[in-house]
Amino acid sequence: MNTHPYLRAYMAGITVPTMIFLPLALTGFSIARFGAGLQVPNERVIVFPMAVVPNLFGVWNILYVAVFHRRNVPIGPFGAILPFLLLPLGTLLATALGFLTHEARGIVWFGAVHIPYVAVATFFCVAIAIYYLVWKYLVGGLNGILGIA
Amino acid sequence: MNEWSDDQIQKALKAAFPPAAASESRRDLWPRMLRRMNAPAARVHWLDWAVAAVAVLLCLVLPGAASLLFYFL
Repeated sequence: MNTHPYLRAYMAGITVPTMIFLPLALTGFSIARFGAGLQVPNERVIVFPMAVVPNLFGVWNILYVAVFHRRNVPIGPFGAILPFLLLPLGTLLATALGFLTHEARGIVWFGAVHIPYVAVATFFCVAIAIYYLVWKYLVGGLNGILGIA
Repeated sequence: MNEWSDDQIQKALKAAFPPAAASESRRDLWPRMLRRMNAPAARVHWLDWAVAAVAVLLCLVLPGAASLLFYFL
């Protein structure tokens, strides 16, 4: 009997970004636009968290179940690698869509929020930590419930 | 055309299909199920709590840069 483990892995992977991250991001950017008065182009900004991140989570979990789980690779560090893929992808898309510009000392977000490169590097480390925890406890927990890892 | 009786069909079918294997499991699965139901919930390691605390603290200290997380998460 085919139990479709890769379909279940994909579904377990997309659950967390779709149900937790996306509403958080949409709420945050809406508050920035309508509350703080920043010129946030929500319809362009939301493309990456809505379309790219969940699918990448799903594909990453399929890869884990198909290859790395069998080799006893822990899921937390495996998930923590994902920001190394997401950062260049997201930066590229944000620059192409025109709401992220680069300066000598840092980046400018929505033409208004200046973030120095030190802060970007700091938050990259925070993202790695968050991804580690999310993959270890949430995606790993869902994999356990679905009986795939 | 040769007409078959019900008995003949029954015998032919029995001869064609091998007898089904024992449908019951050889071992009792209920104790395993009970163990799983009574297993304690996964505990979060103290180091993971510390990592989460540092992440939250940094978001509070640098809220502007925290908007990056909304985008990349």
